[in-house]
Amino acid sequence: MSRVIAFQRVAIVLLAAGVMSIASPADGQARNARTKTEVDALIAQAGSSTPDWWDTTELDYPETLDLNWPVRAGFGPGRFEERGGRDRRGGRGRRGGGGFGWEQSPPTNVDEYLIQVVYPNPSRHKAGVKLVHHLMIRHKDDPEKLRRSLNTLGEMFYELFGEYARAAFWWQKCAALGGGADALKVARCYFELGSPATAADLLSQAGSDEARNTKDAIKLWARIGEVDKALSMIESYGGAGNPGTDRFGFRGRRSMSQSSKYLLAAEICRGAGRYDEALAYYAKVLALPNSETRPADHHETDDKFEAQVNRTGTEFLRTLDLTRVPDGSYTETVEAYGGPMTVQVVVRNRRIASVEVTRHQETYEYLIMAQPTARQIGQKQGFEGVDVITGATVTSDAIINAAAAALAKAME
Amino acid sequence: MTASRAGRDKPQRLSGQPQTRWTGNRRRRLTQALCLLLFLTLFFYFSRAHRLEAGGATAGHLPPVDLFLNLDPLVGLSTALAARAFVGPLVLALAVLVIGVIFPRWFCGYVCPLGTLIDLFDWTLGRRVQRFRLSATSRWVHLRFYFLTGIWAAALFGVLLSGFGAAIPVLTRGMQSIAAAIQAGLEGDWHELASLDGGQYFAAALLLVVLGLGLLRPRFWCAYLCPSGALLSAMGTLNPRRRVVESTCTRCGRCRRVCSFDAIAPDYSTRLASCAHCKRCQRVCPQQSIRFVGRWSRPRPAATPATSATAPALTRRGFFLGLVGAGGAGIGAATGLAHDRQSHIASYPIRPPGSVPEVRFRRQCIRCGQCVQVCPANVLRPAGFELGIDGIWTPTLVADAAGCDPSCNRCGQACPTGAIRDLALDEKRAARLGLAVIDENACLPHCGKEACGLCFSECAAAGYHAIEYIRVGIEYDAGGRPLADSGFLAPVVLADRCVGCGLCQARCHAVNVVEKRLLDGSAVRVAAGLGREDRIVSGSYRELQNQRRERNRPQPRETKRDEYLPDFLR
Repeated sequence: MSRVIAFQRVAIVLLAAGVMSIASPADGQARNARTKTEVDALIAQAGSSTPDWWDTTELDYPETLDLNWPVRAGFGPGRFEERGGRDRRGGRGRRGGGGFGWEQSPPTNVDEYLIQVVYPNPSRHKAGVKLVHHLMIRHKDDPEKLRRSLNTLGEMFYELFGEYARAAFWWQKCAALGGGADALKVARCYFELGSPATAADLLSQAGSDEARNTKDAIKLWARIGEVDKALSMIESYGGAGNPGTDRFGFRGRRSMSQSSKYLLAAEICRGAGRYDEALAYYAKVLALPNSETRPADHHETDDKFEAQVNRTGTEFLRTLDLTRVPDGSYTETVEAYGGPMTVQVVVRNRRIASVEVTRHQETYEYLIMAQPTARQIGQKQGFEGVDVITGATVTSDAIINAAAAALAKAME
Repeated sequence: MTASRAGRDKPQRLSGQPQTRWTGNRRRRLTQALCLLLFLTLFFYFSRAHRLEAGGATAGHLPPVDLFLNLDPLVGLSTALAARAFVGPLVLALAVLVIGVIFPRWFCGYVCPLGTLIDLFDWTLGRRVQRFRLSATSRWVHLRFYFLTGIWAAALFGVLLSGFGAAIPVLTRGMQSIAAAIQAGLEGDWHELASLDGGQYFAAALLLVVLGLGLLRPRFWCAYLCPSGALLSAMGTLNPRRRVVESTCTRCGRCRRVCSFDAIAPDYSTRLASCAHCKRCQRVCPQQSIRFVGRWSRPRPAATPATSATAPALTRRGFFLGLVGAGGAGIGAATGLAHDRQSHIASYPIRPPGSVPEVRFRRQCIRCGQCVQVCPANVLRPAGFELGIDGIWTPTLVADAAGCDPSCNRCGQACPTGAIRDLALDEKRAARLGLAVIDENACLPHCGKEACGLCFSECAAAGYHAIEYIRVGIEYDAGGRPLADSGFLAPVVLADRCVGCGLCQARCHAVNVVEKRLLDGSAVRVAAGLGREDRIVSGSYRELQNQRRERNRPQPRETKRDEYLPDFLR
C-alpha cells in the first residue's frame, strides 16, 4: 500500500489552539493576589459584555426540538438501543431541520441534542450557546428551567470555551435564583481569574462529595498551591461514599490503584514545578510489580508505559529555560494514546506563540478534550499549572511531553 | 522476376543495388522519430512513476499531453458532429486537413505516432515473420472509407464511434492499459494486475491487433483500416502534385512491394487517395521512372495511364454501394447503442469533476484514456463492459484506492474534446461528483464496535469539512438524563458540503479493509445520481454551489435578536 502511505495527510490543525487569544483580564495587580471582590467585579464586567461572535452567529437548531425542554429523555437509564429506542438498523426517518444530513430520526430532546450534536462539533458550539440562551429567555417565568438554563450556560462557557469569567457570571446568576452550580468548577473559575484564596475557601466549604473527593478536586488543590494537601488527599482517596463524577457526568471509580495514585501524585508535582518529586513518583511506578500496573480494562493504558514517557518529558521540563529558546518553530514526536503524536511549538519574540498538534492517531474525542492543555501552555507561557484533563490524561501528557522536549532541545 | 504468385510473395534482394539502410527518406524518418519521442514523453512523463505526491499536484498547468489527440482530424470533426458543439480540437483538425491538401497524408507519414510504432514493429518483427503475408490485396483498399462513412453516419445520430477506430485514441488507450498493467506490477504487487478489467484487456488487445496486422502486410492498418487516414486521404486527392510513372518503367514490382500505403495499383498507376508522397517507391525504383510532378506538367509519355481512379477488383458502382451499406451499418449501430445507452445511464457512474451531462458526455468522450493516464492518484478508471458497449472505456471514478485530490484539476486539462471541462481549482472544488453515504451497519462507531475518526480527519484535512460527529449509543443516568461521555462519536455526512471526492472512502478502505481487515468494504461510499452531482455544460460551479446553499439555508428563526443580558437578569 505504498501509495496510500504516500498520501498521508500531515497537517491537521484542530481548533487553532495557538490562535485562541482570550482577552485576559487587565493586569492591574499581580495576577494571583486578587481579592474576591475584585474577581467578582471582573466577573460582572466580563460576563455582562456581549461576546463578539454574538451577532454574527445564527440561532440554528432542528425544527423538531422540543423547546419545552423536558428533563427526561423519555426512556430512563440504560443503553438506549436496549430500550427499543431509535432503531439504527431500519426505519430511518428523513432528516428534519437544516443541514444535519443524518438519517436517524431527528432529535427532540434538547439535552440529548446538545450531547449528540453540539458538544462533539466545535463548529456548532456557538450556535449551541445561543440555543440555550434562547431557552433561558423563553422560560424566564419557569424558575426551574431558568436555573437549568443558567447552569447549562455556565457549563458551556466553562467546558467548551474555557471562558471562566463568563462561566462564573452565569453560575452566579443561577445561584442568585437559588440554583446550584458545580462548586469545584466555580472554585476553578476563581482560581483562574486570579484569586486562589477564594478558590481554597470555596473548596473547603464545598458540601458535596463531588467537590471534595475527586481527581479534579485534588488537582485544583494542587494548582491553588496546596500541593501537600493534595498529595495527602491522594493517599486517602476512595473512602466511603459515592464515587462521584469528574466531568459532565462521567462516572469515576471508587478507588485508584497504587500505580494510578503515584501517577496522579507525579502529575500534580509536575504541574507545580516540583520535578524531582515527580521523577521520584515515576520511579516508584516503574518499581511496582507488574501485576499491579496491568490495565484493568481496555480503556486504560499501561501505567508503566505512561510513567516512562512522562519521566522523559519531566527530564526535559527540568532543564527547560524558556528565555534561552530562540525564535522559531520546533516539532517533536512522542508516544500518545493511539500512536505517535507530533506537536509543533512556535516561538516568536521569545514567547510561545502557539502549540499545535500537527499529526496524531488519537481518537478525535480525546484530542478535543485535551485541547485546553495546548491552549494553556500558550496562555501561561510555560508548563506550570497547565491542565491535564481527567479522562484524557495520556493525550494531555503527550502534548506536554512533546512541547517540553521540543523547546528543551531548541535551547541555546 | 516480376511474376507474383497468388498468395505468398517472397521479397527479393535487389541485386546490384546498394541496400539502403532506411527505406524512406531521411527527413521523414527523423521527423517520425521525433514525433514518436514527443508523444512518449508527453504520455509517460505523467505516468504513475512520475506522479506528484499529495500536495504537489498544483504544479501549474499541464503541458499539452493531448497534443496528438488534437491533431487527429477525425477526433475533432466527429466529436463536433456527434455533440453538435464547437469543441476545442475542431480548429486544429481543420488545419490538419488543409495542410493535408498540400502534403497528402503528411500526418500519416510524418507525425502519427501509431504509424511510427507500426513501422517499428514491421521493421523489427514483421519483416522476419513471413507466414502470414498476403499479397497486395487491392480489394481492401476501400475498406477504410466504408469505416469512415459508418463513423460519420453514427456521429450524425449522436453516437461517437470514432473513439473505437481513430488512430490516436486507439494508441493512447492501448498504451494506457498496457502501461497501467506494467506499472501496477512494478510499483505494487503483481497480483494487482487482477484489478484490470475486461475493458482494459480489450483496449490493450485492440492495440496489439493493430500492430499485429503488420504481419499481414506492412502498415496494414494505415493502408486499409485507419479512418483518420481515410479522412486525410480524401484531402489528398486535391493535391496539386502527384506521382507519375514514366515509360521507362519495367514493371519490376519493387515499388508495389515497398509502398506502405498500397497506393500503387497492379497496373502501376497511382491511387491518388492513398499516396502519401513518402517517396519510398522513388528510392527503390531501379529505372528511376517515378516522379512527383505538378498536375499540369506534361511528363514524357507514360506506359500506363497517369491515374487510375478505380481498382481492378472493384467498380465505381461497387464502391458507391459499399459506402451506402457502411452508412447504413453506422446508423444501425448508432441506434442500437443509443438504446443501450438509455438503459445503462441509470447505473450512474461517477464521472470526473467537471464532466458534462451524461448523454452529452457519451457523445463527446473520445475514450482516449488520457484523463486516466494523468490522474495522479489513479482514481479514474476506464469503464469496462458494465456500462454497455456505449460506455466502454469512458472514465469513471473509483475511490477505493485513493480519492480525488482537491489540489488537482488535471483530467480537465488533459481531455482533448472537452467532455471533462477544464476547470480552475476553486471551481473544481465546488463541482459535486456524488455524495458520500455512510453505511451505518458497517461503520465501526455506528455499530458500537470501536471508535474511528478516519473519514472525519481526511475530510477536514482536505478542507471540505463535510463530515461531522454525532454521539451514538448514549447512556442515561438514573434521572433519565443523558451522560455526556458515553457511547461513541460516529461520523455523519453533511450533504450540502460533500463534493463526493472519495477521500473518505479511500481512507476507510485502506485502513479498515486492507490493513486491519475489520470490514469487507469501505463503510462510506460515494454514490452518484440525481441531485447528488453537478454537471453543467457552461457556467460556474461555484455559483451553482452558492445558489444551492442559499436555497437550503434554514430560515432565520428570530425576528428580533435576543439580547445577551436580558432585562430580567440585570
